[in-house]
Amino acid sequence: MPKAVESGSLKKKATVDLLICQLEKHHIRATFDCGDLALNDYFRRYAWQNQVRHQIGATYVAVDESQPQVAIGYYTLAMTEISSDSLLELSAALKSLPYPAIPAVLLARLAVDRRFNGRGLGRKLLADAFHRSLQIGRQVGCRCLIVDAYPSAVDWYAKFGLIEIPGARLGANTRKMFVDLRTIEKARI
Amino acid sequence: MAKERASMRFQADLSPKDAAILESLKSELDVRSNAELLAQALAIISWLVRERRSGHTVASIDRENRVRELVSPFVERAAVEYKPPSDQIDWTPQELASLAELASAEPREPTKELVAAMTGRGPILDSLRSGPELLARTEELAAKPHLSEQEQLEEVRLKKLKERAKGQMETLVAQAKILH
Repeated sequence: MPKAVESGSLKKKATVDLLICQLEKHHIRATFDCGDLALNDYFRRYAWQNQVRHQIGATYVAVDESQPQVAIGYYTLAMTEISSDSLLELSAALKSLPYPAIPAVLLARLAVDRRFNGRGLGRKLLADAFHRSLQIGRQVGCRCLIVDAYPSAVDWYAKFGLIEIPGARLGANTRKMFVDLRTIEKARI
Repeated sequence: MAKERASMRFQADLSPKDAAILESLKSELDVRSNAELLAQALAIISWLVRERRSGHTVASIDRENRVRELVSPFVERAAVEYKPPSDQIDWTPQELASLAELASAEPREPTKELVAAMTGRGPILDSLRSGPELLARTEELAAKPHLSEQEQLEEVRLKKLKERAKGQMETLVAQAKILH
């Protein structure tokens, strides 16, 4: 299941000269450790395959300029759509919208190596994901960004305007969150 | 009866780095030929694939009993449970109803944190805002005949900040070109 996490420490630490770029074969993934087995496992085993072989998700990595081959954070974007057939039954307001489906960017995962926590990397990765989502929205048409976040990360995402979508399954270990791309666009101006 | 060919010729182009590794392994393992090393490598890979195909995990255990699992996307393709994780999510009817409300509403105003993240307000742009002071300090350091260790570090940091600010300005210009 897609997950997103950002664990940060408030301790002041040395800043990192950060670069964010798309995952390349030369990036070292084996040493990545965000403290979450599922997110580590995805990044080490599947991120590259999902991007290149299956083309179902694109991963972007944060690297320190002094060691540009070592990934210290990443996020994965995928396209998704929510069928409006089911939505139309649920919302009278949506009946006025002629969408066959609501296209959305899915921020499938976001994680920072725990050795680099507390340096604002998660914020920078999220901002980068927002910028890319805006570009995607302009180029192919897209309405919103969805995150499937760990409950512990919900407050962190909420600071950046993501709204928790009520109605999660009982016992679900993630919470879906929503932000309208027009809100992100407004923030950029 | 025609004699069956007993072996297959195999030729490979290796990078200098891989060639050096090959020679080092041959020496360390007391293997005389490339063919012998290849045969051993094939046996090990076959074993790895068999283990993963059986659903077993391949790992090493050190003297303190710490386990390090072998993680290789190449070998994972053979694993029985191999199924690339999907990047799609399941919705409950209640979540869909909530999403319908959110999607049909007017977009909310961005939060301060979102504005700060999107406008790049952070250490780099903050340093741009205090550019004149930084420039004055850079000139001050440049004018000194000798720099202490601390001052040398500061000079390097200022140069780095200048380069990063320059890079960020170029990024901002590039983004503006894409978006407008």
